Amino acid sequence: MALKTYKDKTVLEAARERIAMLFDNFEKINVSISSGKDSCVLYHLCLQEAVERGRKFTAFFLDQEAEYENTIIVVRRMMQHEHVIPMWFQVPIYMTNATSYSEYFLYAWGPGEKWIREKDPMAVHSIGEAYPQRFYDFFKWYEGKNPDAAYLVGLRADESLTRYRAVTKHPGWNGIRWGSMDGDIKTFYPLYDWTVYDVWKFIYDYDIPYNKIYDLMFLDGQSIYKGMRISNLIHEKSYKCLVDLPRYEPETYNRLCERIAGIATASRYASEKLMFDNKTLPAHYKSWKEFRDFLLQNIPDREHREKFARRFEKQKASEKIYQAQVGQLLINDYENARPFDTKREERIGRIKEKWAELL
Amino acid sequence: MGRIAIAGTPNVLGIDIVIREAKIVSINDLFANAYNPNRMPKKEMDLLRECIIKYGFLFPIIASWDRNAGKYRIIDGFHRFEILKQIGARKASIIDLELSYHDAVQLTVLMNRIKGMHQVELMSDLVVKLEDLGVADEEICKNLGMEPEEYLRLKQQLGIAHSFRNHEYSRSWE
Repeated sequence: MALKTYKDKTVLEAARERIAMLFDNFEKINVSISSGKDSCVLYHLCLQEAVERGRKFTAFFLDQEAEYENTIIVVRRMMQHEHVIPMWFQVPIYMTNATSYSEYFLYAWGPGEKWIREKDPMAVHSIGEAYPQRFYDFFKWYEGKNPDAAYLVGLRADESLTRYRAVTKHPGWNGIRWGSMDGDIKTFYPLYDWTVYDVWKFIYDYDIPYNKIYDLMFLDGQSIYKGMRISNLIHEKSYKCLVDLPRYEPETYNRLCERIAGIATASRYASEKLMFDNKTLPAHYKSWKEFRDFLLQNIPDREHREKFARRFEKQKASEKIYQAQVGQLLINDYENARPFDTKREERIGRIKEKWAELL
Repeated sequence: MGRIAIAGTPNVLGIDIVIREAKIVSINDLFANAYNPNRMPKKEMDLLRECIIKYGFLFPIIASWDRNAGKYRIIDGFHRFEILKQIGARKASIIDLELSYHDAVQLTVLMNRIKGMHQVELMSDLVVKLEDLGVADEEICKNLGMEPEEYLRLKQQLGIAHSFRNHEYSRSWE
């Protein structure tokens, strides 16, 4: 994929061919849906193919409980089709809560807890064996159950080129460049060359029901080309959506506030600089190191404090690094879900030295 | 503190429903408290001035008599006070609450903080309704303090996908 070679067909024609090829070669087709626009398009392309062939495919959704109501509305619709085998999991799972220093996890669908909504009768409510209760591990476990299936994901290169490169570094099944292999698990990205324009055009052309949150974001003046992302509501990468949640889905916001600590604070301050952002050093502190030490010492949970401390010990002593560490401390990212580049300064230093030699 | 009870019986929580007596004082007898963290952006200040000019000074400033200053310290209504000075008003209507300093500080925060939020979808409906009532686009923008961008987005009720109807699918690549 070093060079981009354009073909004499549209992304839509190409995606249909890719999906037809997968239906030809795999008995089990599994589509991961998130209620986002990309997986929505992927699902409908597969549905059209399945209907034409009189076949069924599996739609997989791992429900994290802290989801928009509008997400659930779309997912429920997608799960209900006669050509779809619903794999909608509403099972106990731990979700990191980026908004709170006291409640590190949301134990989504935890037994005996007051969930933010009722479980859906169509969903899988319990699993008769031990399974990993974390998001990514659950995916791996689920895929391992059916290693002969084709796993389809709506990843697009223009959205995240780095992620696309990372997953396609090793060619996929049968040497395919728009897929990847991990052991014997075969993953495919039939929409990899689609742009955001193509995605919306397809949704418009086929009048596909999509997540209404996109319309609200659009009415609300958000950029069409970046930033419109839909995922669960409290994760390290998505908690900023809490700022808008009271104006998009007030009832979901109320229920979330009752469910877990930190929501109202994040909603009020997540868009402001000081509380969750590490761009400006608060005036009370002389250095990032001082601010970092303050935050570190005040983590209530000893185990997490030590986890942070152990990681930071291995990192270079510099203000840039301290600043990055503050960023992680502010969103309680003790698992390093949003890692920063610790070697960058060294690299820049080396480049500078080289230039100094040359000059 | 003058209170005129209207409904003689207190309600369930024992709160009297009263009309608090407002009084007119010289604008020079008021002063801003030093602690209020609330700042109103210029755009909203302009809107506030327009609003006062159009609808009048609708409700009194809440203040408390400060013995040391010999003036009324504002609890709620600082920005309206600023507008009154700007437009050359010499008097203001106030409600004089006898509150301890620490209660006054907290009431200021509560008055700022206890507010609803406009649901995006309902706001969109409202804008469309105003248009149906025959209010011109520019009028709506001006009266509600909206930029054309915000107004157009709110008015567009066909959904985001509609905006892409004329796009042609891009070339596939490998």
